[in-house]
Amino acid sequence: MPQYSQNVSDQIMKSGSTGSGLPWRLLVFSFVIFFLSILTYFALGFGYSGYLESRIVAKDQEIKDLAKNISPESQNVFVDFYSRLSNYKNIFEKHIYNVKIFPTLEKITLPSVYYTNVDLNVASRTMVLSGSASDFESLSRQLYLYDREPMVEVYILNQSRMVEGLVNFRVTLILSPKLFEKS
Amino acid sequence: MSALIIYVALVKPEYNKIQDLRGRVKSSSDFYNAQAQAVDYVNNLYAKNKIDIEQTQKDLVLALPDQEEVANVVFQIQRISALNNISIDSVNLDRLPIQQKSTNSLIKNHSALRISMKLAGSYESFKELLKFLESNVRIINLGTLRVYQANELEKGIFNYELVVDTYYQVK
Repeated sequence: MPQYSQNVSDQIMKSGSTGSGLPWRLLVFSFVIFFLSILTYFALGFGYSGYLESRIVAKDQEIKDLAKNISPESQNVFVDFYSRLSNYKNIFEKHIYNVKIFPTLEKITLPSVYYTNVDLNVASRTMVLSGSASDFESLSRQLYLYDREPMVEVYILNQSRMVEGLVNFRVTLILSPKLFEKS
Repeated sequence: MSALIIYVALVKPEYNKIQDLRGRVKSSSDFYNAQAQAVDYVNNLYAKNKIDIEQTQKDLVLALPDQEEVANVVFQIQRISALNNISIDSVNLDRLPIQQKSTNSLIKNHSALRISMKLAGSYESFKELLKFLESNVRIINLGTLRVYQANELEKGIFNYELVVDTYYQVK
């Protein structure tokens, strides 16, 4: 029992002393927080940010050094290969296939019609045909064949006249771009 | 209170700056890793396919040489004509302007050589010649074509005026 009384009185004394030291402890705590803030600011501003900046510089240098890891021989080969392949692709995409031109013309020409002059311009897809037909009926049937041919987009009869028993004519065909594409 | 002021005025902006720097470090690292992978890929690809690449490169040089190679063009036309029994009356060459430079700095310029030819021969032979030109190793594109008969006494023989373009890469 006396022991119990002793502890209670101690506790009463301690709580009394705590109440009197509270502002002082708060002040210390505030100072600690203040110095910690200052310390954090300097640590971030001059320590960590400097470290991060040095890491960025080092990484940039490593990126620059990477190029040295490719041998000059393979660099040249690849650059030249890439350039030539790209140019080849660009040119080949516009390659003109001409093997269908004359077989198509043969297919849509009547036996009673023959040509004396063929002028072809691939860029404008125009073919000017000069020729002779046995008569006007043959010429009209010939024009009908141009009309039906899918590879002929438009045709224009520029001229036709009877000369020495034959009908001389000149016709302009606007050809389909498909005629110059790979079949 | 002063700690709060320091936090708001100094620590917070510094923290934002740190966040920005960390973002830059991360993007630099990612870029480095991507580049390192690409470099490894190129080195491996070159080591594994060195022979194939060199062979393909040789084939590409035939299709698209580094210069006009006029002698080679004339030789090819002469061979194609001879193979198809077509006689050559004339061959003229013109250098066309260099094509506009690609936006990609790795791709070199290219240009074309315009070849104007006057030929004579049978119609069937000429059709074969057109096939040869179309499938020639060096790319040849037909520009214009004229077929006519200059000498009516020579039955079955026609005259041809051809304008074709062939290409080369500018060094």
